[in-house]
Parts: sequence; structure tokens; C-alpha cells
Amino acid sequence: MTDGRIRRALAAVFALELIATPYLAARFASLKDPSDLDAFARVALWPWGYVLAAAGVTLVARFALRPGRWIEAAGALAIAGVLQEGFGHIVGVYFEPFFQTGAILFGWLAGFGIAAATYGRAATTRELERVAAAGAIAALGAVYVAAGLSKLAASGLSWATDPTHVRLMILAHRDVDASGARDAIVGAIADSGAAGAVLAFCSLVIEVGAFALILGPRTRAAWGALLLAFHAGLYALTGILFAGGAVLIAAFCLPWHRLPALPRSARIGAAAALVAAGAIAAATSAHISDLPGPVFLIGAGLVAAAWLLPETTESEPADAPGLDLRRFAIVGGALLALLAVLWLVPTTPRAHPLDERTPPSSR
Amino acid sequence: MDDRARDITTAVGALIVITYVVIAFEIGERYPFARFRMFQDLPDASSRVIARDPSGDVREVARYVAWQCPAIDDLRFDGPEQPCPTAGSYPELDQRTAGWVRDHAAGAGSAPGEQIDIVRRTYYFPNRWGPPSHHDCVVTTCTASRHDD
Repeated sequence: MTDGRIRRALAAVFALELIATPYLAARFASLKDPSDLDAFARVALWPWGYVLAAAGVTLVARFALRPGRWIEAAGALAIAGVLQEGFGHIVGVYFEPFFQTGAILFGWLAGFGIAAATYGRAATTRELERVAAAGAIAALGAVYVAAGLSKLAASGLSWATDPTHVRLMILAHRDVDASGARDAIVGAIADSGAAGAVLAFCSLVIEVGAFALILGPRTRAAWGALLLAFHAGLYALTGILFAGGAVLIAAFCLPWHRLPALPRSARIGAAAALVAAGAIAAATSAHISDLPGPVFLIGAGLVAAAWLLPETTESEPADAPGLDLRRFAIVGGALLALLAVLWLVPTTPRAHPLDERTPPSSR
Repeated sequence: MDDRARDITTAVGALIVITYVVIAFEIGERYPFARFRMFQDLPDASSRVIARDPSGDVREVARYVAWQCPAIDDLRFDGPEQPCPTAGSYPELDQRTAGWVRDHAAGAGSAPGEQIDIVRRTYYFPNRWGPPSHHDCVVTTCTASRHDD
């Protein structure tokens, strides 16, 4: 996986989610009484939602097409933040699947910033991009680490051994009149305490262990496969899928370079087929909850298309300057010191909006 | 990539994992930071809003259309003042179900369908390692018609 491919895959999924946010906001808003929508909610709806999304897509396209365009990336991230806030005001909860892609773009920017501070004026775009790509991969893992630590913080190690909570989640998402082989499997899992405990244990290990994505290509491929299995299982059992995140796991982690090189026409055909299949499935879906599967297909197709774009290379010296380890230690130490201060200063983490209107006892 | 370059990217990766997790835990849900807290608690029960016909057969609410319910325009299954306990409920599922009923309300002059109880089915485990049990609580009584009638 080249650094440029990581940037373009991220840009493709980010653009898709920018466009999807006002669309999803409108579908959720249609379930609400218009008088319940406050002024901020309207930034995610027609016309402002689409104006913002178009501006964000323009920025993210510029980010995709040339290395080192961090200002465009930061602008697109800010626009996505405004759209998400509007979405939260409509639905009462944020759309966390899109937070995952935002986190990955944050990771790219953070990596770029750390590299710029470390290399200083001697930095080449190639070096900055390499560290930024590492930052994006790390942030992909960080999302799962945060999810796993949240479970440990809330429920302790009993989260991993309890035989009931995964099964309760499955039951709440299972159609009561479903039939067929898939439902038979779901029912068998719901009936088995051992299956519930094993699924809980494996989920927690895979999430907390996702820091392994930073450890190199082989470990990343292995843990990426585990994360994809986790998402596939969750999707099969509950219909829940973080589609963009799953596409980026596949794009960042799997060893695509080991596949035999396909002719360009075949790759164009595959990308178009994925996007078309996803678009048809999305257009014919009755529920918002049916959309993650089609979105996964569209996202995969867009990534495949983005990888077809030629990579613009900077005219730079072939030999990158050596990294100044002293500067890197200062930058890393300063960042850790800032985080320690943040950790020690008493703060009130902003709750999920839903927590503010639903008593904890009823969740 | 040489070993030192790989060490540096690993170190930067570790810094970014720590940065994201610390900020997410300290500031909460502020884009792009989140703790991704879904399913973090250990509930004793979970529930789903479904439809029950007079013979006691249950189906998904989305199998019915032409709904006629009391105060259908204000119908919701999440939030406060619910007639049934909402322990372990998933508000997004409840919102979607209520939205289906409102969006598929009977038109003016429509013939009433069959009587349908909208019930909240709550799942729980009498024995933690055994199969689930459930109990049903009627949320409201409506009339509606099957999709495939």
C-alpha cells in the first residue's frame, strides 16, 4: 500500500460520507415534526447541507489529487464537523460511523503535523506523506481501541465474559417473523450462553488489540482481517455496519500489492460495477437501516476508482533528509505533556445527546 | 522502508493512538472524537416494538400498512412517558418503527383493517447461560392491513 493510495482511499470514503450526511439527515428529519427542528439542525438539510457537502467534496478531491494538501484536508474535516452537529440536532444522536472516517482524517493530519514539526524545513512531501499515512492507519486502530476501552471503563472485564449482553443486542435487532438459514443461526446464537460469551470476549480482544495496526504490514494485515471478520459478524447478526470504516480497513490493511495486476480496463469495470450495484441496492432499499451494505459497495467502488488516478509526484531530491531524533523526542514529549495536562484537568466529557434526554435506567 | 523509518512511523502511530483516545475520553462526543460507547453497558434486558394480531401471532410493524392509531401524528415509542418500561431499548429502532406507522397511516375514508396491538417485547435471561424469555406489554391498539393482503 503506497502512501498516495491511503490518502486517495480516505478521500474517496470521506467524500461519500459528506454527500451521505445531508441525505441521511433529510430521511431522519422526515420522521420528525418540523417544529422540533432547531436552527442548527437546518445546516444539515437542503439547501445548506448540500452546499456544505459540495464544498467539502471539492476540498477533499483536491486533497486526493496531490500530496501534502493538508489545508484542504483540515477544511473538509471542519465542514464534516458542522454537518455532523446539524445531524445530531435532528436525530438526537450523532452518526458515529462517520466519526470513524473523521477520526482517520484527523490521524492523517496529526501525522502530517508531527512530521512537519519533526523534519522542519528539511521535510520533503514524500516524507510528510509517509508519516501522515502512518497517522491515518493509527487513527483507524485508535477508534477500536477507544471503543474497547469504553467497554472496560463502563463494565470492567465482565464485559468480556458476560453471556447475556451480546445476545440481548442480537435479540433486539432480530425480526420477530424472520425465517430461513440465517435466522436459524441467529436464533442458535441467541439461545447459547457460551456463544454469547465467546462473541463478547472475541469482540473486546479484537477492539482493544487494534493498536496492532501500527506494527507493520504483516501484523496490520492479520489484525485487519480480524476487524473485518468482527464487522461481518456484527452485520450478519444485527444489521449494524460501519460501512466506510470497513472499506478503509480493507483498503489500508489487506495486502493488495500481492494480487496479480489486473488490466486497467478490468479495474475500471470492477470499480464501476461496485458503484452501480451499490447505487441500485441503495435506491431500492426501503429502510435507512438497509443502506450500510449498499454504502459499503459504493465506497469500495470509489476507492477502486480513486486508486486508478495517476499519482502526482513532487520534484524532490531522491534522498530524504535523515530524521532529527532529538526534534522528534521534543515534539513527541510536548504532545504527551499536553495530553497529560488534558487528562489531569477536570473536564466534563460531552455526553451523547441521547443520554441527556433518556434516563440512564431506561437505556 | 528502512528500520529507522519504520520505527519512526510506529512511534508516530503510537502517539496518535494515545492522542485520539485521551482526547476522546476527556472531551466526549465532539467530531471527530468519540468514545464509540455503543453497547458498552451490561443491560439486564433488551426490547423491540412489534405488532401482534388478535390470534396472538407477532410480526414486524413494517409488515403492516394503513395504520389507524390514537394520536398517530404524535406517536413515538422512545423518550419519556412511555406506557411500557423501555429498559434496554434502542431508541433508533423505536424511532424507525414509529416513523413507519406514521408514514403508512390510513388515508381519509380508508376501511379499517384488523385490530393490531403494538407491543414492546422485552427479552431477558432467567438463567444467564440459558435461552431467552420475553414478556410483551401493549403500547397502543390500532388497526392496520397486512402488506401482502
